[in-house]
Amino acid sequence: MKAIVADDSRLIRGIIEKTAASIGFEAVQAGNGREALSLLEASGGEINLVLLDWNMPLVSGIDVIRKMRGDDRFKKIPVLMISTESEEDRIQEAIRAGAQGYLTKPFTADQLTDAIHQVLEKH
Amino acid sequence: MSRSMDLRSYILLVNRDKKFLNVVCKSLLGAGYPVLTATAMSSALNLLSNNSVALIICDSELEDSSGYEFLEFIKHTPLLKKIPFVFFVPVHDQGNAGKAFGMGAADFIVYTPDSGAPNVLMKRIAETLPAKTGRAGISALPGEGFHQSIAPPPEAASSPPPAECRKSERLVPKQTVNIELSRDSILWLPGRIKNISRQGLLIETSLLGRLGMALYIRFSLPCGTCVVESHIRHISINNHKLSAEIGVETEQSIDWIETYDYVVNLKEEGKKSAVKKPSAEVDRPIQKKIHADMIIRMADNRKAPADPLLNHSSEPRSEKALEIKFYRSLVGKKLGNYKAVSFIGAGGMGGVFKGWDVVLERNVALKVISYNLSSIASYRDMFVKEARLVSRFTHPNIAQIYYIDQVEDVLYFAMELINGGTLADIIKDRNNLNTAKGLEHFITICRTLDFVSRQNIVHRDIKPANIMIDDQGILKVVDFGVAIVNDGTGRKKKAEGLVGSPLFASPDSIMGQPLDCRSDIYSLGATFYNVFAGVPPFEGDYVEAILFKHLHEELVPLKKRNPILSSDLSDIIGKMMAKKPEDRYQDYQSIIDDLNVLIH
Amino acid sequence: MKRILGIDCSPKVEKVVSGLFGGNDDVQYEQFHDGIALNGYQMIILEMGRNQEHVVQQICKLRYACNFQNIPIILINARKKDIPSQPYIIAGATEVLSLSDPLPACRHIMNGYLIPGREPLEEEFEYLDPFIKNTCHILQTMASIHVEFKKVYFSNTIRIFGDVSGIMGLSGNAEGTLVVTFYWDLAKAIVAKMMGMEEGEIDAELIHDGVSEIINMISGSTKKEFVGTPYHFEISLPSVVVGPGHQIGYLQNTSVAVLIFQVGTQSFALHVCIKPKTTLS
Repeated sequence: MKAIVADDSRLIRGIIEKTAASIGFEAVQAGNGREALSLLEASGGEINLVLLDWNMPLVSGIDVIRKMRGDDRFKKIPVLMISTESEEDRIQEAIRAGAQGYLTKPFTADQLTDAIHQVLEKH
Repeated sequence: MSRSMDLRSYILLVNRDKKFLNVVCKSLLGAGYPVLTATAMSSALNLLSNNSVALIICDSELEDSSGYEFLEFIKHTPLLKKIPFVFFVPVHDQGNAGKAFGMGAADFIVYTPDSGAPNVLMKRIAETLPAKTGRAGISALPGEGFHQSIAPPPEAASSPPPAECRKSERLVPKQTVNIELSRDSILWLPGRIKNISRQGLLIETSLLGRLGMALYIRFSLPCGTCVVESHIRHISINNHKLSAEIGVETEQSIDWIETYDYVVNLKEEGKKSAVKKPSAEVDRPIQKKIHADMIIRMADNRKAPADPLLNHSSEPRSEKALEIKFYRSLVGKKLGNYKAVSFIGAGGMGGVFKGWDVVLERNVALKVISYNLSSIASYRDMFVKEARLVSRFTHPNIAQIYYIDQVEDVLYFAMELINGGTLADIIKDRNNLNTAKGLEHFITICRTLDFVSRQNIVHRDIKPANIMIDDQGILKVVDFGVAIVNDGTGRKKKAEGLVGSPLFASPDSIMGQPLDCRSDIYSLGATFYNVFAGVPPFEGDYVEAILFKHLHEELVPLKKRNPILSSDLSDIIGKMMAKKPEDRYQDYQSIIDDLNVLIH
Repeated sequence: MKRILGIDCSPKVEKVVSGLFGGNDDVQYEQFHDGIALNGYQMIILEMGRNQEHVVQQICKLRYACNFQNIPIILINARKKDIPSQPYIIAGATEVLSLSDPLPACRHIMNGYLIPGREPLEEEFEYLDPFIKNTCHILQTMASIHVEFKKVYFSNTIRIFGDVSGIMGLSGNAEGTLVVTFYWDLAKAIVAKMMGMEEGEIDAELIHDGVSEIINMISGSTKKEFVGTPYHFEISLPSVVVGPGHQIGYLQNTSVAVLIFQVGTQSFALHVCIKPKTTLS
């Protein structure tokens, strides 16, 4: 299974990739929202999960979700948003935009694993 | 390919065949080119977002997409589209050359399995991209997903590239130009211009950035502050624990053109740069406040310090600096039952802190008396005595003094904390008080000072800065620190010279005569003259000049300064400011009566 | 009785310093050396040598030895010549005084620094507590590192002395700045733990990234707790600054709380400068 991990921090990408790998995901990394979108374009429909930071340069995570949900090809790919934005209305905003799950930083590997499983189950 | 590409640093080699990558990479490194490698578009993009890349050499097929998709993405990304993109493909792919050039490829190089791929490539690159000797040692070693931020060697970063590569000349400013940088235009960090061209700047700074990141740059120009938007194009870090050099490309706005012209036209020599050091900013507000609020003392018939207002003389200035150092040492301390929470400002008499009363649990203003004054026994006695006096009366328009104490040689008052500004702030901000509001304030202060004079007290330092307006709009007279009790004998106990601000000092106080409420009436007249006219009644470059004018120069009638005012108001203030006390109003009630006529 | 350490003091300066403090305080003298121990001293007095770079180095080393504790370092200039104090202050000196300054001024200034610091006000604890709690929680969660809050002191500027610092500008209802500052070794250890890697595998970029992410998480997770209070702020993009000795602009009339945290024997600091736009009352 393939996942896109989009975060402007290489450290966070590394942490997420590691956890994702432990549950069988091969992760491709994107440093911003635009890269995430181009990776989606390039994937040829092979992406099973998108893990998105909210605050990223060029294109934000929330805009990536909106673009995905407006595009038939990517509409159904589950998205987990992982962000430091922790206020309830922000979480609701992401869910409304089309995220299946929301995980606030900081998180443990277990929390991330659970969140990924939940997103996939919902899906 | 344009030669200007060697402004950048790495060659990014993208090919899904790792063996092939290794072979080509080695030859490029051997020839002195720094190289980054990737097998997939995603990892190539990662490398691009974190490194300075001069040239992309790419295969037609990649692990996760095709070279053409990669090229298309590059050409549609403003920050990346200028990087030359070269296809390096096996011979069976050559039919796509036309498509590649149509999409914006800079070159299309074909190799055959037996021709030795590196040789073909090296030859073509050597024609266009001269190798830099001495680079190989620090070049990145190949590896998939290799993610490297080691900077190009110092010579590549700091020495400007050959002149023919530039669209415009890079100039080193003749003076140190300090600027401020921000990612979010909220928080600003210092930087220094290393060189400047019409396209952008090379900046030395401790602020880390990534390629492509937007950066705001703030310049202090003589005409004001100017913020220019830019993008990071180049980063060079010689030591990860120290400052870096970043090259930015600026948005070509009018602000930038003005800034560029200003910086390149700076004259040599140590003339004080108009672009001020941002780190000095911290002290500035406090210093300014002192100058605006300076009180001079001419005790013992000594001549006034040459020019404290304009700060020409170095002696009072360094004394001021020491006083500021003293107040600074008290930030975050506890004085008796009071916590010094934050420093508000310094005046001639002392420094004021926002404080907290631990026992009564309320906000207070803590006024720490200047050690210069508090260490003189007579002054210390005076402060204590007058504080006792003022603490006895309660009046809604007088800032109350709660307590006076001395802790470890620090003499301080705890007073009512007033959230708000002073009349001086209103005048300075040209926050025009309309005449009706001004008159209302005028009457309120007259009533307050009437109350004060009935206690036989002369304030002696009535001025705009000592009249505060709190956030409820209530006026408060502050700073009774130099007030005296007029015991009615007319005797002057001690020659202590002028106390109070020269701009608002009465002739009688300048002459050292015994004072009564009529001296305050003069100062109050001068204060409201300033409020209504926008300028003080008498100005001058020297304290002596101002004092001389108070004594001898005829007052320019207020109406002349501000013709929309009534001549009655102008006359009232003129009478308050008569040179001789006996020609002024003799008490506040008669002023109030005359002002009331104006209101109705 | 206060304990004061004089470093590299000439007999002339020793005489003045001893005169200033009289017999009430315990003043000891020592020559500067690497690894100098400053524990237990309330003030360090360093006589300024001739070589500015050398003095700046000395101050940096003394600041390191303070391990983020608020020990005032007073630099004494025994020469006649006036010198700009900015480079020394930036390096970590608290104040620069000259022997040509009037003695009462010097005495008052030094005494001021010796007055014990205040405790936070209740209203300050109201906004400091969430920062303390979340900072500990973040490092526990992301790096399984036990962090202990040690103490807080107050300053009127943000001066940072760590090797690498993450800075967040705050806007919205409350304005201000947050800065987390680490020495290199601790930052590296934390990032290695976060990544589950050996310290040797951690490069500088990852450390910068990690510090940026830590300030991002501290601000992001704390802002939620201020919803509906005057301290509610919005965050922007974190900035990372390298090298010790930076002074960052601050808001006037605001105090800066410096929270000191301990990880084993190492420390790091979080500077919190936050000012509600509407006044509290």
